[in-house]
Amino acid sequence: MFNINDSAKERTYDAIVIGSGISGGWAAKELCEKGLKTLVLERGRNVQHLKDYPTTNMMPWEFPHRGQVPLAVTEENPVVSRCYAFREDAMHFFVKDKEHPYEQEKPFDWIRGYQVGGKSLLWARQTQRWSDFDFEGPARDGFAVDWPIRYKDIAPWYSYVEKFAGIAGNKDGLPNLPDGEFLPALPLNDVENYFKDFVGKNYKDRHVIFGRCAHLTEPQEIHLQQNRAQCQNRVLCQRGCPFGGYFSSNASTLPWAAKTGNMTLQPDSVVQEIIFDEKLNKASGVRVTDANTKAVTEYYAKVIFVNAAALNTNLLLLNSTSQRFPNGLGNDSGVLGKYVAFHNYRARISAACNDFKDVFTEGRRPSSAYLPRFRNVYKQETDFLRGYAAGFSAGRGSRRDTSGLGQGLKDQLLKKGELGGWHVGSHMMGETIPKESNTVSLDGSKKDAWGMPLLKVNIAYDDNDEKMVKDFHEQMTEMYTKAGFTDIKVTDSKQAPGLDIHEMGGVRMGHDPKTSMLNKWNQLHACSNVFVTDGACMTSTATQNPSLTYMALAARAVDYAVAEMKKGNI
Amino acid sequence: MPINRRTAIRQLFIISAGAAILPACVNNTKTSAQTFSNLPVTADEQALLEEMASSIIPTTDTPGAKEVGAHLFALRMVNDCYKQQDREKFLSGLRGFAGQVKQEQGKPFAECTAAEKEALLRKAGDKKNGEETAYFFSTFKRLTIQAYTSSEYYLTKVDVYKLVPGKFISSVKV
Ligand SMILES: Cc1cc2nc3c(=O)[nH]c(=O)nc-3n(C[C@H](O)[C@H](O)[C@H](O)COP(=O)(O)OP(=O)(O)OC[C@H]3O[C@@H](n4cnc5c(N)ncnc54)[C@H](O)[C@@H]3O)c2cc1C
Ligand code: SF4
Repeated sequence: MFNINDSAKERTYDAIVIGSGISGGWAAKELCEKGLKTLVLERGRNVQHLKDYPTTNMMPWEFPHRGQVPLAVTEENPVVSRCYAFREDAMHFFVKDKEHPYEQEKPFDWIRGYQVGGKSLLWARQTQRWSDFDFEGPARDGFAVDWPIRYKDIAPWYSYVEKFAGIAGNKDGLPNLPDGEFLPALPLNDVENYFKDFVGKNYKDRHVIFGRCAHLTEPQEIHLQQNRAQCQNRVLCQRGCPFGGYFSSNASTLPWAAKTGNMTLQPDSVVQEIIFDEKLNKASGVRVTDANTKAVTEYYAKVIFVNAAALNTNLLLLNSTSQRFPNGLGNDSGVLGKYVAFHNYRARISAACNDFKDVFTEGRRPSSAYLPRFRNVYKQETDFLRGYAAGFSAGRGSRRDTSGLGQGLKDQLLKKGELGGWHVGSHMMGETIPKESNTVSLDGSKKDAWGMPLLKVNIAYDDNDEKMVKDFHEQMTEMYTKAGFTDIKVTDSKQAPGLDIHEMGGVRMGHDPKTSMLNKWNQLHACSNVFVTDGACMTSTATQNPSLTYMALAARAVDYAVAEMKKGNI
Repeated sequence: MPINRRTAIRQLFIISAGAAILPACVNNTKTSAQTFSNLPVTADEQALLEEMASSIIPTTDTPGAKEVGAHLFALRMVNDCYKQQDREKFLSGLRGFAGQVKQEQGKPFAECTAAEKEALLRKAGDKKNGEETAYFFSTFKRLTIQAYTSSEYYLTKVDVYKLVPGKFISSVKV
C-alpha cells in the first residue's frame, strides 16, 4: 500500500538549493562538500558539460544565417533579442519572451537563462572584487541601508572562490579594486598600453588595468581536478567551452558537487513556493511543479538556499505566503521586492587612434582593459552620487575594397585585407541608487504556464543616472581627447534597465530586521533556515560586475549555515 | 509565373557545363529551384540571381559565387531575416532589374556578354535608375560577398578560420 510517510522520507534532504546558476552552483558545491545530502532544484532542462553544447565546434559557414537571428524569432522575442549575446550560436541558452512572460509597468529587459547552469554559460566572465569604498557607500552617502558586512568579512571568501573558479588578472595594487588570487593576465595591446600609461601619468587616481576574468590562463592542480583545461582563446564561450576554459556551473561547481555523491540534481523542477511550518517557525521544504507533467510534489530539508537569480528569488519569496507571512516569506519589514537596482550601461564612446600603424594583434582574447570607478571614491565631488567603471578596448580591423564587380572584386576578396586604423571604445558601468519605488511585485491574477503569478516590474532610471551618463561622456571625451584620439563619438543607447543583466536587490541585507530582509550571513531575519545568496541580497550595486560577489557570499553563507546546524541553531 | 521550359533547359545545361569544369568537392550548387516561404521567387528568378552572383564574383580557376551557392544563401537571408517591406522591395527591385535586362538587351541575362552583364549590374546599382532596383542590387551584392567570404571554401583556403586560434599575441609588427 502507498505509504505517504515513506514517500515523504524519500523526498527529504539535508539541504535544498533552488537554482543551479552561478550562485546556486556554489551553494551546492559547498553544501555537498560539507557532507549534506543536497537536492538542487532547477526549473530548466539539464545541460551537461560538453555533451549539451550543440554549437560549440561549429564553423561559421555551418550556421544557416551566419550568426544572425531570424526575424520570426526576434519579432516574437523582442526583449531577449536586445541582448548582444542572443545570436544564432547561443540562442538556445536564453529564455524566450513568449514562453516566460512578465509585466513591464515600465520598460525593463529581463534577460534570463533557464537551464542547469543558468546564465553561467552565457556570462561575459568579468570578475572584479568590491572594496570598502563600495560597501561603505550607502552609509557614507545616505541611501538604502548600511551594508552589514565590510570588505574584511568577504575578502577570504573572494580568495576562496577565485582559487577554485580560476581568475586571470594582474596585481594592480589599487585600493578601490582589491587584488585577488590571480592566474596570469592576458596582455593589453599597444594602444591599450599607451592609454594605460597616459591615464596613469595624467590623472591621479585613475587607472587602466587588464579586466579580471574567469578564464584558466594557466590551470592549477585544482582546475585539472575539475577536468578543466587551459583557455585556448577561442572566445566562443557563450556556446559552452569544450576545454572548460572559463568558469561555469556546468564545467566547475556542479560536477564537483556531483563527485561527492551528495548531490541530487533535479532539472525541470519549478519551485513554486517555500513552505513555512507555523509550528516549527521555520521553512520545512518547497513545493515544486514538474515543468513537463505539471505534477506538484513537495520536498523537505533542514536548510534552504534560494538562488533563482535576483528577480526570480523575489518572485519566489513573494509567492511563499503563510499565516505568519501573508506578504511573502520573511517579509516582516515590508521591504521585499523594493529597493531593486541595476547597472547603468547606457553610455558609450568610440574614437580612432592614428598612431601605432606599425603594429597589430594576432589571435583572440577573452577580456580587455578596465577603468575602475574614479568618481566620488574618496569623497563626494560631483553633483551626482557614486560613479561608474568603464571598459576600454582597442582593435584594428582589416579592410577590403568591395566597390568593384567581377574579376576586380574577386581579386580584392582573395588578397589579404588591408589593415585599417585602430579603433578604441569604452562603455559605462554605472552604479544606480536602490530606491523604494523601484519594485517588483506579483500580478494578482495572471499566471504562467506552471501556475506561478507573473512578475510585475516597475524600475526606472532617475536624475542621478542621467547626470552620470553626461559625466561619463564628458570625462571620457576629455581623456580620449587629451590622449590624442580623434573622431570621438559618444552615444546614449537609452536602453531599458535590465539589459545590463546585473539586476540586484529586493531581498536586501542589513543590520535591522525592520528595514532589511537578510542579516549579515544572508539569512532571513525572520526565518532562520532560509538563505538568499544571489543578486537579490544586494544592498547596493557598486560598479563591479556582480557575480564574483554572489559566489563569495554563497560560499560564506554555507559555511555559516552548516556551522549553525552543527550547533543545533538551525 | 510559369517556368519557361526553354530557359530551364538552358539553365540546366549551363549548370552542368559549369559542373564539368569544376572539381566536384566545391560544387554544392543545387540545380533545382528552392521554395522560400516568405519570398515568392520563381525558378527563373533564382536562375537569374545565380547568374548575377556569378557576375559579381565569377568562377575562374578558383571557385566563385556560384560554387558556394551564394544566391541561395542570399535568398535564405532575405527570406528569414528581412522585414516584410524589405523583402517586398527586394523582390520588386529584382523584377525591375529583370525587366531592364529584357528591355535593353532583348535576351536573358545569362546570354549577355561579360561586358553587357557588367554594364547592366552597374546600372542596377545606381539609384538614379530606380530606387528599388538599387536597393535590391546593393543588398544582393552584399549578401553575395558575405556568402563567399564566410563559405567553407573561403575560410579554409583563403582566409583560414581557426576555431582554436591559440595564443593571443598583443603586438605583431606589420
Ligand atoms: C550575456 C551576459 C553577460 C554577462 N556578463 C557578466 C560578467 O561579465 N560578469 C558578471 O559578474 N556577470 C555577468 N552576467 C550576469 C551573470 O550571468 C549573473 O549575475 C549570474 O549568472 C547570476 O547568478 P545566479 O545564480 O543568481 O543566477 P543564474 O545564473 O541566472 O541562475 C539562476 C537559476 O535559477 C533557476 N530558477 C529560476 N527560478 C526558479 C524556480 N522558481 N525554481 C527552480 N529554479 C529556478 C534558473 O532557471 C537558473 O538556472 C552576464 C549575463 C549575461 C546573460
Ligand atoms: S575563450 Fe577560452 S573559455 Fe572561451 S571558448 Fe575559448 S577556450 Fe573556451
